[in-house]
Amino acid sequence: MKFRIDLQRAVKDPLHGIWIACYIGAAMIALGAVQESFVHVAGWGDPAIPIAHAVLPAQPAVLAGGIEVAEGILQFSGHTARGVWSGYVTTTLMAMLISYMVGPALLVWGIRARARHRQQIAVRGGVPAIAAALALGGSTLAAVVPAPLYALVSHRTYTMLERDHRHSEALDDLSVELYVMARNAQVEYHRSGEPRGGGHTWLTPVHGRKGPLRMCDLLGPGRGPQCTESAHVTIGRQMFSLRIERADSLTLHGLVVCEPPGCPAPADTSGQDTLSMVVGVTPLNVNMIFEE
Amino acid sequence: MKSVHDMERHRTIRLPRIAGGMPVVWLVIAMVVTCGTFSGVYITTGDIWTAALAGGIPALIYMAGLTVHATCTPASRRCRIAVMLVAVTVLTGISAEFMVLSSRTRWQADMIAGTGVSYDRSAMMSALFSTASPVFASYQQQPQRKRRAMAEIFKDSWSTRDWTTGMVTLDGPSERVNVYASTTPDGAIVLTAVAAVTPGGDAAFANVNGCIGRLQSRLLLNGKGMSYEIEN
Repeated sequence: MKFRIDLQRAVKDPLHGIWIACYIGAAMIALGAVQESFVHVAGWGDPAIPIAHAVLPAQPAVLAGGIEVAEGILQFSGHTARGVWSGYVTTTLMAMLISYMVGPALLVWGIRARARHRQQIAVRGGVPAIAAALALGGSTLAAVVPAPLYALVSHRTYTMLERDHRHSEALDDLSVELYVMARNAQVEYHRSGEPRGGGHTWLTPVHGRKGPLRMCDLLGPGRGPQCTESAHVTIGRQMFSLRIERADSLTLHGLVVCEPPGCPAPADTSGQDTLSMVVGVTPLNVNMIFEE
Repeated sequence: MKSVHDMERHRTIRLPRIAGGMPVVWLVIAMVVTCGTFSGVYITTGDIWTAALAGGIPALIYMAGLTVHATCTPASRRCRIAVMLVAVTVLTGISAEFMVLSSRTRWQADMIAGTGVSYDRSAMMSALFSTASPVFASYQQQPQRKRRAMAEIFKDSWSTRDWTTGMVTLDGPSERVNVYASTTPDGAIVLTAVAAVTPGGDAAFANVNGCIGRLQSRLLLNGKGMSYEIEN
């Protein structure tokens, strides 16, 4: 019975909390429709700029982040767009003014006006203005809140992404080393031929005789610790080994130790988390495979 | 004895000014200061985050002042506490969002730009070695007594090019990388790869094709082998 009475009072009171929640919801839907129309009218559907569908009036940090990323994409494409004033920059500034100044000011004015309205018996002509202020201010504030929450919630995902990127860079460095080694191995192979032609082998001339292919010949001068005939060499976090499969093929194996908290790949036999690449070398071709 | 009309007039309140005592002029001043700070910093530095953070300072001060005014009468005690809690939560959240997003998006932008450098370096290295290796193999496979010079073999493999110009343009692996070849007086071949758009570490570096500051790698091919060098 009490609930029904309260509900009847709420329905009759246009500034009741239930109504205000409805006003804010309606304003958010309207603002969403307006900004989507604005995006289409402004022709901001450019796939290179990943901010077209951001909540334009309410998330300045998202807009600023979009501009930063877009500048990175443009730099990747060879353009230098840094520091150029554009519609996106203007929108970011407008979003700051609306989200952090106009919206809160309207909301505070609405709250205070509603409080005064509650203390008095009647307000002539004031209710629509109060409702509009609460709707606009409340919707602006409600749109601002999800972005900080997203930034906090996605922390773990970004930590993993940064780790994977570090591993990707380590793997890139390893692949470059292995590629140069493979090409150097081909040079050694072709140099090993007999003066009359033929006789090519993965052996290398050492002191007038042919010895096994040495790692220092493949790594280049000054790269290996010593010019040994060992098939295994460790440089920093990278480990290399070579194996001669057949007369005309050679396999190079490269490992790089992962940074904590470890690799996506399982640990190797020595218990270390590593990323691994295998390179098959023939006299003319190089075939690189990332081992998962 | 007051008339009914007078009683009705006294029961009708005047709506408070915006922000409950904070005049509109405060809002206008804060907006002007924010616009000026944001624009000035962005034009000077060209960095959107520096501008946004600089413009956020007057906005933060304004919002703090607004919160203080919002907690003044006639709001109820419960309402004031609620407003204060919401304001502190929102301001903390916005500040954290700015800090987190600025570092993340800067990292993302650097990563994207760095991917271009990594991609181009790999393409350049692959292009140079792929061009040089068959020539080196052909040179080494010749009988000792009838050996042709390395430069001669190389020019034969690119016989459609005009070698009188000194430096010739070869087929690059993509539009992002250009490959050039020239010969030295001692018969060696110099292959040079230059990125079409990606900048290298030295912005003032003079590339062989007349560009400035692009990525450049060089491969020297002679009878002893190949030596690869990143020049910019």
